[in-house]
Amino acid sequence: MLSAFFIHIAVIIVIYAILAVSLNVAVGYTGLLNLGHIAFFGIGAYTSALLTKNDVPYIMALLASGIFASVFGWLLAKITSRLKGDYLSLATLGFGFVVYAVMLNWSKLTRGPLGIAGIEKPNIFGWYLKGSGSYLIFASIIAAIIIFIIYKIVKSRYGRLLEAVRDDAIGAQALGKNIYKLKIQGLMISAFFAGIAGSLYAHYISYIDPSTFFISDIIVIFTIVIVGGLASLRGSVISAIIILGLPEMLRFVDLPSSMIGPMRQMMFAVILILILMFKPRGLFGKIDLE
Amino acid sequence: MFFQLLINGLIAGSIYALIASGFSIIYTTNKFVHFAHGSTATVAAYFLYWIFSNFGLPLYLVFPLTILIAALFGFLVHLLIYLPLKKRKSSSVILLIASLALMAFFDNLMQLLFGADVKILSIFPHGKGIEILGAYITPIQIVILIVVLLLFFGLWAFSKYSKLGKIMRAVSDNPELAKTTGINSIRVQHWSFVIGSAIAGLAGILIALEHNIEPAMGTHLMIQGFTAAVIGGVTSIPGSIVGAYVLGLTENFGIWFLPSGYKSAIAFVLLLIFLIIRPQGIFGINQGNRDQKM
Amino acid sequence: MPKKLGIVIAGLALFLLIGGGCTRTDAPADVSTDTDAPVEDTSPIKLGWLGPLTGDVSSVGTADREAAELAVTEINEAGGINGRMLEVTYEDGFCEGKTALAGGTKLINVDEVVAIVGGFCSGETLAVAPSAEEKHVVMLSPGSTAPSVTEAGDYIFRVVPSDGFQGKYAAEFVYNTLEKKKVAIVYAITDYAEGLANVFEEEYKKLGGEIVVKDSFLQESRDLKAQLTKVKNSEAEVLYFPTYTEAGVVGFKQAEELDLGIQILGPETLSDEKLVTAQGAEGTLYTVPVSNESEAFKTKFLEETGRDDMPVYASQTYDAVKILAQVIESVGTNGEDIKNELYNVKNYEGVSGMIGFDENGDLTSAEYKVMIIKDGKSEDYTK
Repeated sequence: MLSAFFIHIAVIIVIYAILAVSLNVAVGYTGLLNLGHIAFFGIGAYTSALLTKNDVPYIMALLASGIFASVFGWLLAKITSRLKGDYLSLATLGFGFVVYAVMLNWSKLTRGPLGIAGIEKPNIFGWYLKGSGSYLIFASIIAAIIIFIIYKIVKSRYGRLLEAVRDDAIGAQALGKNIYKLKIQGLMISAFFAGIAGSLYAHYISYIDPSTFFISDIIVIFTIVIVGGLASLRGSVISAIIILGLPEMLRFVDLPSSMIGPMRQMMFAVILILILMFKPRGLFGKIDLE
Repeated sequence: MFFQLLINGLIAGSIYALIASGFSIIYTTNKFVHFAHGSTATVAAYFLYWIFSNFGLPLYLVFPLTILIAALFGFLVHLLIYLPLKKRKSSSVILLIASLALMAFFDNLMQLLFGADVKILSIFPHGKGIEILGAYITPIQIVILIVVLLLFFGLWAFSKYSKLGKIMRAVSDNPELAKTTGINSIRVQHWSFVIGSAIAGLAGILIALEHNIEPAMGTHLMIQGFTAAVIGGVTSIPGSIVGAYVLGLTENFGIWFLPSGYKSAIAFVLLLIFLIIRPQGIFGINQGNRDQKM
Repeated sequence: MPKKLGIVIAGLALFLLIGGGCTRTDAPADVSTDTDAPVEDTSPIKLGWLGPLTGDVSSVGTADREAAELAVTEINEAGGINGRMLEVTYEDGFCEGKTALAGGTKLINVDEVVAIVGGFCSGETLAVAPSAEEKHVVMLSPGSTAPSVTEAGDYIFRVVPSDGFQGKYAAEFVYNTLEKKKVAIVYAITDYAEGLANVFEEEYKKLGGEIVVKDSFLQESRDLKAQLTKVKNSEAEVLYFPTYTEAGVVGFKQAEELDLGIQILGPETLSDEKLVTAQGAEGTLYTVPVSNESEAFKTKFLEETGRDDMPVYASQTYDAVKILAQVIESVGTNGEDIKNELYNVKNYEGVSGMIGFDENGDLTSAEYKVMIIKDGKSEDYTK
């Protein structure tokens, strides 16, 4: 059934839209180039999967995913607090690698490369999300709430403080605002929502393993965020639709399945390079990538 | 067992050094992380495979040709992608992201063209290794060790005594000042890509002979090559080779105690620790201000 | 409300509409709609096939696909199933959970197949099993031997025995036939290989043997010197090496280079041509399930496909298709009916041997033999 296919794409887009928006909070608004953002996604996914496997009710697991991921956001902010520029981004990348290595090696907890299969569909106060259609509705509701919350944050005075941190404004320091604390909070917020996205992902796909949260997915979300434009929530959402929707057109061309995977990755890479070369602000971006 | 672990560590270190040294040349001159450097080695390996499988050319032609192709590849990547970005005053972070995209592009292109399965390059006969002090080492592994040793001294001599080497160091230390003395920075940057990528080509050949060929081979080694460069000091080309050996030996002695699966975890953890605590590496000069570029 | 937020909400509302409109397709239980039709249905019956068409075990996967195609051709030439043609959709599982799940989900939700022949690798089957179980789609695997598949679900069957048998057989072979008392195990971290390693360890220790080294590697690993060095440094007399092809090739090569010097024993994955002809493979032993395949089938298969050797699990794949066809012919295309009828299969004479399912969907018995690799070929091992 074709509509089953479209619903599937829609769910993925919604989840990645949340992920992209959360990354934008860190990169676009707080100016922290977190190349390891996918780690928060993965931590949320594993947290939610493991908790529900141990009979924790879904809503609690969902929240726990966000909270636990934000703890790691705090950790990352602490680790990189004295770093800037190249050092900062590379350290965040290193952080992402280490989280991946832990997922891979702490097999008593995560089952390592075997992954966790059979992650159950959520049951929310009696609403059992068995079908993809109902999952789409649920995910969309969560996404709408999250985007609304983030919108409120960035438009508020607090949001302007974050942007001041990004712009390295002398004004921010002069006002006596604790830049250090703001950076930590920015990363924690970013991580929290990425963790929620991770939970949504895990319970939709029903199987996760460490390889999902490694390099190639880092490239995908950065492509989405950069193409959409930094500091633009609308940009991230629309970009997610385009970037994830476009390669699906490949399925309608008669290609052997072994070619679709690599071609998809190549499409992402090409789009990213083209945007960086010709329109680095992205579609709706307000600032340059620094 | 100690000697076997030592040899394993030296071989691993040598392979990382092949990648790290070329990377380091490019980094010191251009001041951004060229992650796609690993892909240069991958492309070279597949080129070698393609030529070897389809044309009966003698080895003494095929090997240099592969290295040339690798150098050309690196040169074109710089010319067509990085230079235009640099002209737009793109920051080093943008160049890093672009390099990640390039890496993804070329790795997947190789998979598309050649398939995901491992290609075996049967150029030299294989067999039992040579026994030294109770440890075994194969001829190819010995070749790799010697090549890296020569590379080490060669690069050291190059940067200290040759004209181009000295110019590259000048450009690396202070591009603006170098320009005022008439040095064409862009030309030097081109050369850094040519030489660095040629070394990557050599790496591709040796790794293909030792470990066979598959699409992700370069990228996987790039992570370790990059870690090696960070450990040794990204601003020091010979330092990157030393860092490679530190990494290779730590990994191989480390898994004496740990389950062998932790090998890659060791690299990642070392990378993170060095980036946070001693980003200039063992030999790098602490440029004092961490707010600047590395 | 600001324009941007409005656009976002509108976009999401669009998704909700699509989702709401199509929610009907996600009704649980039956996937097929054919059994309700009072009029005779002549549309093709769709089966799914899931296995490694690319990647590590692809040579076996593509060969077994041909076995499935042979079975389909035979069935259709004989008139199909109750007059309806059999159609199979082939999806790539890449011998890993993530890819297999994508393929399996497509077969179940988009192609809406009546049953699935597959997954091939145990990791593939285990990843898709929960979805198949939920949507009441039978999975009949021709190659998933990991012990953990026994508990994968009511809808999960296999025409290959659980490695609970093979690991035990291997342990007994090493202890009793080879008369070796110290073994090193180096295994790939996959459901299949890890399952074998654990069974072997348990059974071997029960016999009184000692496991001197137990180390592992990622299936993508291309350097096993670390593990092999540990083995060499131990008192192991035999190396038990459950792995898939590519890492196996590396293991053989490096074992020779390091002059490991001890007997290597593995499971049926070592029968892959790429491994049999690999450097360092000479003298390696491996266990295989005994396939009492008829000469007639073997001749026909080799003739139709132009191959020289019978790939492992080809006859099982053929049997899987034939059994499903027979069951569908008698009970129809309802998933639950198919499942129930499969449990009644006790004495099916397949080309791979006598097939009967126990209450877990497993084969009730298993027979193995040992092969030896000599001069780039496999032959029966005789002591």
